[in-house]
Amino acid sequence: MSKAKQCPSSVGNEPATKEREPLDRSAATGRAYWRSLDEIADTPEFREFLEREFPASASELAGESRRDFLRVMAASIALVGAASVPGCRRSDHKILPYNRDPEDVIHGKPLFYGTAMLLPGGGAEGLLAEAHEGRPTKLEGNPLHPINRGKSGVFAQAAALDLYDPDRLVQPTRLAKGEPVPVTWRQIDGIARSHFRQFDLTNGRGLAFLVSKVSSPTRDAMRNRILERWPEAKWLPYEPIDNEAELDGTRIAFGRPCRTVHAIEKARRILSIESDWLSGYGDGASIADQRGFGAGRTVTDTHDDMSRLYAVESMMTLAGASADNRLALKPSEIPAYVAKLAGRIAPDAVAGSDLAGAELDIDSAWIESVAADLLAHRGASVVIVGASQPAEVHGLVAAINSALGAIGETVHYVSVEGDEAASSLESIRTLSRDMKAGRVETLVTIDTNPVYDAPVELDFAERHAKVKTTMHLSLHFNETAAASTYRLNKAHFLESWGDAVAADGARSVIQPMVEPLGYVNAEHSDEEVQHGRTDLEFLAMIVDDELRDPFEIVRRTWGNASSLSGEAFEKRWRQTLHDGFEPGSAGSALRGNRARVRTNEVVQAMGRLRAPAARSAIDLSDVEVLFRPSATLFDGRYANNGWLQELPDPMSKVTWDNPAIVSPATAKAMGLVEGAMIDVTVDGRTLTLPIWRQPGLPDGLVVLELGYGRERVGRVGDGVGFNTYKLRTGGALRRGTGKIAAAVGEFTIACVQTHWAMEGRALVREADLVAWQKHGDEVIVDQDHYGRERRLDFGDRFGVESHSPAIVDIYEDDQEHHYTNRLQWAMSIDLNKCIGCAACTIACQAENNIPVVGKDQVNRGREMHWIRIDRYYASQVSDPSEAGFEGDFGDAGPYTGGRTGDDVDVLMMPVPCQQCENAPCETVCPVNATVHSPEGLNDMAYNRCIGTRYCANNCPYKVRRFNFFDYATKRLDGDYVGKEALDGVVPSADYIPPRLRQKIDEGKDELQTMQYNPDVTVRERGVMEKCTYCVQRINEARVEVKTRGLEGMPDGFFETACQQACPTEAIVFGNKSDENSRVSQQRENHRSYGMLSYLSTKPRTTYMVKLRNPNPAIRATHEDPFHHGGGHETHSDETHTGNHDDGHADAGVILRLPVLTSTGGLA
Amino acid sequence: MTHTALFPKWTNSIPTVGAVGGVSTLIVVVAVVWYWFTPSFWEVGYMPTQPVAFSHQLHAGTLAMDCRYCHTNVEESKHANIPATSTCMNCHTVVNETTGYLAKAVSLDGVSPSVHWANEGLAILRESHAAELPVPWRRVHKLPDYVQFNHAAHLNAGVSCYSCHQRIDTMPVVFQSQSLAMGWCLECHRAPEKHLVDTKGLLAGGETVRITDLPTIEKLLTDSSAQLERGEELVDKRLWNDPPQNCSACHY
Repeated sequence: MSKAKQCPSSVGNEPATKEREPLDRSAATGRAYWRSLDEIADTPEFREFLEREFPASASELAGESRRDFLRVMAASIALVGAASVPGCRRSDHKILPYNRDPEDVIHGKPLFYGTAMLLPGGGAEGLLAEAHEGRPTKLEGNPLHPINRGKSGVFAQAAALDLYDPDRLVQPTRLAKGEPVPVTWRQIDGIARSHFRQFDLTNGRGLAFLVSKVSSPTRDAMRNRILERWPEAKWLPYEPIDNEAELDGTRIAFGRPCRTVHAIEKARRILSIESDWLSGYGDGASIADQRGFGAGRTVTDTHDDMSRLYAVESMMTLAGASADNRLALKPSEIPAYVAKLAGRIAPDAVAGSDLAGAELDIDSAWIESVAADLLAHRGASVVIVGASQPAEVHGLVAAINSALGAIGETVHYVSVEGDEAASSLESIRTLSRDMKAGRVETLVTIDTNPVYDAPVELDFAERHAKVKTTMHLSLHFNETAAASTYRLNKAHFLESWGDAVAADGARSVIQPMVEPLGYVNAEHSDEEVQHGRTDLEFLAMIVDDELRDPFEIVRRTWGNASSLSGEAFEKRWRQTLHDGFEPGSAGSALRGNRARVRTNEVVQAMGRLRAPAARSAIDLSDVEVLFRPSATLFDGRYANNGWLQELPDPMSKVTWDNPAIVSPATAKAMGLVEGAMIDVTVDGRTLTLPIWRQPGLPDGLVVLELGYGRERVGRVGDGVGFNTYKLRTGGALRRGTGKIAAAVGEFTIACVQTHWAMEGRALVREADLVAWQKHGDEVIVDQDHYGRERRLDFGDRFGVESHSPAIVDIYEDDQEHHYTNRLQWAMSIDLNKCIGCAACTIACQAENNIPVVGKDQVNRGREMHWIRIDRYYASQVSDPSEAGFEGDFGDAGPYTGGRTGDDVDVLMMPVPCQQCENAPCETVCPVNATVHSPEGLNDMAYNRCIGTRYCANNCPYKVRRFNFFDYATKRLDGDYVGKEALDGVVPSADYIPPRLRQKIDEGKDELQTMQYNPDVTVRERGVMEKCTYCVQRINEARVEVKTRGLEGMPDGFFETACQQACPTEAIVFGNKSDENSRVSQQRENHRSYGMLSYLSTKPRTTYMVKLRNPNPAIRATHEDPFHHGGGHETHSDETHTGNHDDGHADAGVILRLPVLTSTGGLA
Repeated sequence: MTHTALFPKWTNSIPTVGAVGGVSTLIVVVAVVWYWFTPSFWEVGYMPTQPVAFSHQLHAGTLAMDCRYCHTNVEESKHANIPATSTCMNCHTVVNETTGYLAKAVSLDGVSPSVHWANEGLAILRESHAAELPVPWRRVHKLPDYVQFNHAAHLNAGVSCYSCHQRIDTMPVVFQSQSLAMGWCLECHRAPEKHLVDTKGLLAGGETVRITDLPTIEKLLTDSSAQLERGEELVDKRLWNDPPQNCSACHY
């Protein structure tokens, strides 16, 4: 563009062209971000502005000449001039496209790959990993995989965050003169080759491997190579949470170690003995069990039958929570119970046993009637026993299952061999003994952390320090890494190749989603990224395998194991990768597995057990101690996972801690409540930790959760909770005896059940199956106080709806045409299926970029979970004056559990946003940030929100969450990365403006943000948020449906994150305007009710009444739960109508326990 | 009693001047904010210099290449992907070693576009190709993080490139031609008939219009009465629910 043309006087000479001429913009070289000022001003508005000011030029305001004119005009406007400074406009965003397009990648559309996750102790889950442009963000269950069938558990969901843990080991280091020196993997390879060669002379004597216990064919193959080369090397599989009792018990019963695989979906009667099988983790529990249980609890009409679950246990587990009849016994009493039961079912197996005749102070129906019930369902009943019971009991249970005809039907005993058959205790004892004797010269620890979790009497750390060369391979710089001479970084399972076998025999290849993350090692100029290596790669280095590539190593195993070769093998391999497991391998381990129980051996074993001591008053100096894996951190391996640290324990709802759990009466005997410190002494060792009261526990028992108190794991998990491994000895891995005493001090526990509580209304509803069978089809039509018709079905008759006026909308006419859109979203949650496992909470967190806020913020009630699980206790109230526990329970009434607390029922209720059609939050928002969509969603526009929090205040369900701070840019433990640098300068990093903080933190948290779902906005400080029904998935599906040219949304076309994860399929989501959709049908079901629906909020999320199917011989069933009784807290006489007798639920049946506060007081 | 002149007489005008001045200042401030603090002022015309002197005018205009030759995923994905270097190299691939001219790619008029390959502006592209590194393009159209826009949804409904990018086939260097403000989005979501084009049977003789044929589509859309008629038909036929105007359609 020539200078002359810029002269305003030349304007008129240019012809006014209608079409925009191509611009010569090569002149625009000055500013990087700007074309030129005239372009900025080239808007209709500006044209109008100029029209007013320079009417004479109006006719010329078009085309090139006008712009030239404006260029001069604009330059004279100071404000616009300022705008040409780059800082005033948006920053320069780069787009980096691929150099070469990868196959299948459509930018903006995630790809799903089949992979698998190894489970500790054996087994695997088949997963689908969602990858956005090569970046895995979320894991789902593989819909084809026989174990998962599209469902997934808490740990699988949380594994995506583990991948991006910023505290992972990033490069190998070697300890030289006490100082860590960075080394490269190439050096490690060289060192390994030369170092391990020395063992060729000794046949491997002095060489020991302590490895995780997993079912991986390729790792087994590597083990074989190692043992082939060094026959005398020690190969020791070890897990701190192992199920030795199961292996030993099946050895007794069948003569060979077996893993128990249940087929719960076939079971009509289930007896759970001290087992946490419904939690989906540990003890051989699995997603398949949860799914099977959900299937057995499907009740659609009044003719449907339902499974019955008995639980005999000490700790209140999820199985106990879902049980129809629960009996609380001390762990030591349980063998006697099983023996007595066996006396009725398999008398041969307990012939001559002390236990069968032992004194046990329980209702005889628990033996007679339960046995009769199980026998009556021969072939469709099953007994499940947990890992804390001794091997003899496991053997006996196998005999009972055999007598019940369960083996091969509802339970499979699958032989295991190799690593899986090894005893962890034996492994760690052997190693420890050898180390003490100086027989170990080189110890390789892979994926194990014995310095932290080995039985305490072994003095493992001390002995470990004496070993000359110790090599440790793991994700984190953990306690064992710190004590080892070589600390090697391991690749996450989403980063490299491997393989796995599921409990039912389905063989999967672990497929990497992303190149291993790592940094360029500054110490070495070769720019080699020192990313993690898998155990397979490391073992290949040690044994100097001809293959080093994990892919090749895995393929070699599969090639060797396969009868196919060449093309056929390649095809099979590809099919395996695609499906996520080898075709035909599903269920292969279960086929033809009809083991015969060796009764004589069981009888002999039972002879070793002694009868339990008679019950006495609580003796604090002689209590039983039960060790159990944490429901959220498992054995401690997830301690640096913020999601899991903040996930409330399903029962106690405690986050970020592991208090010692005792029964209320035990606590009372000590005169203590929550937050008080106690000394727990086991075997002469004492640990001081806070106390927590758990109803439903037998008295004289203290339950300790393992996995906390990590010293070295990372910024999230360091020092959180108390290391209960320090009390655990090899002789008492699961249970022992000890004493407890009050200690000095108080401790703050962050418990979420104190928040979001909804007092005194029939929010959660349950009835006995018989009541449903009798009344399920009834619809009560009556008139309310104002003479309006009111229709009440089964679900409505429990709550305040039964005596509140009919719901009449004063805007009724208007409402008619509010929700006419063809898509009307709704969710139905079947409380009968919900087991409270919290997979939905973590799935939601992963999907919706929900931040972790830290213990301090949780304690202030600021946790951010969009879907929480409310846990209610309920007990039968016959006469409150007989209450066994007279605490100060405020308005909530007395706790009336019996001596053993065995009549406490637990109800779980997931609560996401209810998406009310008449949403109370919307009416109070001053800026219209939360409004309704025509599809019935309660929209939340983050960018409009100014943070008044009126909406949260007005939400009767308390499902709205507020970003009090910039949680999303915070570190996982709630602190900022730069906090250390700022400590002492400012009171809290929260006071630093976000931009500045971002600079401080720059780069360091990038890793963590890689997990974020790119389809969901990351919310900032001062913004309200809540469940959106996964609106990003809705929108995606809507676009997909239209792109494909479908005429509507097929039911089940997509799922919300919570629904997708839910193993029992308790959550159903869909279009309620489609009559045939599952959600419509569930909403129509008479069990359906809306929470607080008498407020006329018209919630789109509805619940289905929980049903219990108790054995009437143990507890009387209630056919008519709707009689008028005491305990209606929320109704007043004015709202009563004449129809009391059959219109009311007896809310008195369910009595909520008081809310236990975190500071030791009672709310 | 004498009055001391505590305040000089001119101070009497302070309230008046203050009031008038204050009000006018306020008006000016409001006017300035109202007018200039808008996306249509700040965003339109943003034209960063790109690392490679790629001309849409040449490729999409003169050579009449379909937009989707490079932006391959635009009908399937929310993003209209920026092409990989390899896409450029499909044409600009073989350089005659002696002449330095392109041997393979030939423009419509039969003249080899060799000038591009020797061009200084293509240095980064050549480098990218050799080193297998991405070209650092500068982003022109940028929505805030809290807005989700889906190209595929719009294209499949019949909204052409033209409606948002105007005549990109006439731009030697791409600039933002529309404000991309929420009000601008809603204009169309409230009256979709103004912007929907059918890709079938619109031209005389039932010829198909490519949705990327910007000159033809411009002609169709600017003929407003005929467009309204056709557009309304299309809305009935194609959109089984109206373009959403609720928050969660774009903000989540």
